[in-house]
Amino acid sequence: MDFLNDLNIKHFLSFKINNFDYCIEIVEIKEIIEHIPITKVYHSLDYISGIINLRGQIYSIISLNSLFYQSICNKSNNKIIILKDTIGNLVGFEIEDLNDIFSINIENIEIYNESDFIENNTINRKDFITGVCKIDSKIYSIVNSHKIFEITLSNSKANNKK
Amino acid sequence: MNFDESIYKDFIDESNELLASIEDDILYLEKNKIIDTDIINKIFRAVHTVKGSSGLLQLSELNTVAHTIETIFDKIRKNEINIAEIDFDNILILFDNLKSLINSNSQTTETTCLLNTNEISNSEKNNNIKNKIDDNLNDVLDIETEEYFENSIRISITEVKELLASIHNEIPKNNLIRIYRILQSLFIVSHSTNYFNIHKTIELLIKIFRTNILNGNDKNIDYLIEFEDVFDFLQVLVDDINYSNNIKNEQINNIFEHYNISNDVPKTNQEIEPNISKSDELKTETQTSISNIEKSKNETIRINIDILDKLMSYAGELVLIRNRQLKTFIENENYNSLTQNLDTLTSKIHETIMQTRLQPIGNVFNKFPRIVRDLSKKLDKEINIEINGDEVEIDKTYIEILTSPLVHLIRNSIDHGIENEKERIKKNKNPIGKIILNATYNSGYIIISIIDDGCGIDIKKIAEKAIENKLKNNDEISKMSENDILELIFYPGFSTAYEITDVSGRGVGLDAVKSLVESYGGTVEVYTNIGTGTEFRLNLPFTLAIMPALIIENFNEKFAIPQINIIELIKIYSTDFENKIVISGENIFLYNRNEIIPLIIFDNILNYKEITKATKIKFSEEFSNTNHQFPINIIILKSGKKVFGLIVNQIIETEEIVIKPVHEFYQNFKIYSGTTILGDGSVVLILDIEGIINHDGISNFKKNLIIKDNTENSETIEQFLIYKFGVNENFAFPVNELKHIYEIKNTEIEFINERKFIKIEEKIYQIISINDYLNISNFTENEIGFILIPKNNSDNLCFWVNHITDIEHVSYKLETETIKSEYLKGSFIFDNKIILLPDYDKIITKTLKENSITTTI
Repeated sequence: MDFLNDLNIKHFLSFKINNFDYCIEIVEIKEIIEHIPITKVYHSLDYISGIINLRGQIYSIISLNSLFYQSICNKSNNKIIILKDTIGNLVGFEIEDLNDIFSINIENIEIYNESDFIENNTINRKDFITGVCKIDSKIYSIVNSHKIFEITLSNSKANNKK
Repeated sequence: MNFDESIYKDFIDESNELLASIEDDILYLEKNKIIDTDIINKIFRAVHTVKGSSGLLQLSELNTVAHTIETIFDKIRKNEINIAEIDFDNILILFDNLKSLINSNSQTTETTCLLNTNEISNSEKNNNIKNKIDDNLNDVLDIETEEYFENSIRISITEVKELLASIHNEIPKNNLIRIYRILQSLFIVSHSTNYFNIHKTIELLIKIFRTNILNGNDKNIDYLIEFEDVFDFLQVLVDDINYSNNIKNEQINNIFEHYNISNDVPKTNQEIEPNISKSDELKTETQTSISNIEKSKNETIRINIDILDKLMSYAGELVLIRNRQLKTFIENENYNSLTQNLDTLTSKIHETIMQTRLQPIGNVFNKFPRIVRDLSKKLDKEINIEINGDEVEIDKTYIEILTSPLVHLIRNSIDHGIENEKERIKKNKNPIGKIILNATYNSGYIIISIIDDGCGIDIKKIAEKAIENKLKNNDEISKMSENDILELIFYPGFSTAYEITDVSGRGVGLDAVKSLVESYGGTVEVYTNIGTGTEFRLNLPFTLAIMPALIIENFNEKFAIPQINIIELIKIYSTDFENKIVISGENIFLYNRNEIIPLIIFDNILNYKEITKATKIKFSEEFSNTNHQFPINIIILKSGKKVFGLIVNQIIETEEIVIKPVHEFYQNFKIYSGTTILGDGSVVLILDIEGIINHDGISNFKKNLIIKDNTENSETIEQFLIYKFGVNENFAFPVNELKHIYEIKNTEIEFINERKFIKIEEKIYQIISINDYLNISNFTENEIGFILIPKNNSDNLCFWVNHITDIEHVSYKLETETIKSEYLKGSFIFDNKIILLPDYDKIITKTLKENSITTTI
């Protein structure tokens, strides 16, 4: 298919967190898995669900519900987006509801400027968003997985030292 | 291969390995300009090891450079230098020099050394830091080098003399090579000193040696005599070392001229190496031994190990998959034979791969006789080393890593542990010290112990030093147990030595040993007795990747506890609860076989991120108030010498686990040491026992106590001697308090001032008749009686008994209400008879009191 190689078109996986629409670029995703028991790691950050075994590799799972909205993920139909190793370590995102894959022309993507981030001191939902996709009448926020990983790592280090 | 060479080779490999990562660390420090204690300690440790080894191998140049770097980092560590002011270029140059010195030693080339020496002195002169650290440092270093040189040249000369003596008989080639080597090393060392003449003379000796002897002149003996002449001259110079620079140059020049040798210092490698063109048996040997070094250096290229490591980890994965398969198919009969085959095959593969990695520990141990010899000579102590268990086979990785910690420990033993001969004689010890190096297997672990018969570690001294170094304050020390204080010796930078020598004393060693052993899942224990010696014990898991673990469950999550930490599992049923669990303040204890073991509730470790005294009081209140689900599962665990019990909800099974590192997000968590995947595919965390102790903050570990009060309501078992005094009553005497029983003729008893005495084996004992204290029937007049002598009896008291009925283990319940008397502990029923248990302690005290009133006759 031609449009896959078109540099002007990007592909996203969309999903819902707390009834808001989010999306993540497909090139960052390794795979999606369902219904897997997560081992809780006591004393870790609140929004880390725990660790899972995926074919002999151990992944840490970050719950986006709890990171963005401090709400607990419904465990009965949770899904896990496993990210590619390029992010830095073996990490996945736990979410409740998957929507669809959509392709979008970069004209319709609006990337936030650095200056848009004013509230830097607290963990803000906005910190983890690179921008928005506008499709039809809907707006999808683009999840910044690198940033989430970085902040989780530095928070973990601070948390563990206590 | 020559022994010397193998030590050199190890030294070079080890040092290169240590210094490999340091450059990055220094660059990190330079970039961030912050004092990262971990990194500074790491650099310090690495340099310290290089310094120690080079001191041992008498590489004085190297030692000096390492010492300089070490001093700089010591200052940085102590915050005496502002990190922002450090010129990192110079530090890096120093490290470069260190590295090239290390590697130049591997090729026996003097020239590089000489060049480097200049570089070092230049860089030191320009060094900004140096002015800041210590103006006198350079002087001190110079003096050190010279003193060191004087010592080493004297030792070398004696050795050469001995070798020469043996040469007269049959000229063994090895001895010639040895002499050549000694001279070469002296040549290098002497260059950096002011003893120019000695340097020259040695150079001359090397030339004579090289041109005439090594090149295989048939008149070997003649040249030897010539060689000896010059050697004698060298000896004169050395004997007169303080004046040697005053000896007239003419004299030397005369000698030099006599041998047709120019006064130029040889500058290139080739000149010093034996002339290769004239080949001959002897020369070939020197060459081969040199090329041997290079060859064997190539052997240690890590490629083989990489493949073995891969195989090893694949085998580990295979074991895991086997485990999962077993779980899945265990109910299905059709698959049984298939899975069984897979099972055995997997085990075999795993075992075989393990074997390929095994090597006898002798490969490590065989270096130590020499090291002990050299070091004891240097410190003027006579020490024997005894090596046991060198056939014990251990993983290849251990062979590589064990040398440096063992050298640290042995160095410590020789330097601080074993006293010098005078002191030993004063203490009535064998004047020759002894070090024992032991290796044994014990249930999946290799135990290596280093035992010396030295002066032991003085706990008071450690406490004082800890206060002095501000590691702990007085208050903290007074609350610590002796063991805890002893463990302070593993604290980074802790040292009780008053002098810093080139052997040891900076206090980095033990910390390095401990962190290394722990990084392989092992533990270090120390046992010491003042005056009699110290034992360091390293416990290392036999296999690196796979280990047995106990799987437990709390809050529906599973956890793995390494088997190495487990002593035993105890179940407490509701009937035992009152007797075995003691709650006092914030502490909960288990009373188990005369031991008091503190307990930690695992639930609380998981639930509370921080545990304070207040939360602990809450825990113990909760614990005493809740309705427990019996049985309570307690796992008795140990970490080093700390023993405690962990209360867990459920114990599942033991399983062989493959350790995987903890995810980056949780790396600093103290309570987890790793993760693993179980047979059912689930991920579990491996618990770190030391981390749990720290998290809970308990400090009062296992104590041996006998709680008498606790036995009141329950039956206890004790061995008693049952006897009669009069006709009627039966009495009991606890056997464990009994020293002797003697049979006597009752006529032997003598009465003095209404007190009864008896003579037994030339000793006079005062007899106590219990009817003086208890209202009982009188003594039956028999011909024969018995005397019971209690233990701990300094007052020569004994009890008089008429008839001994029995000695028996009695399970009894002491009754204190029915029969009462001041001197009666109580009574119990045994063999359907009432047995009275007098309070012997009280009776003895009373008798002594009465005696003091009527001592005089």
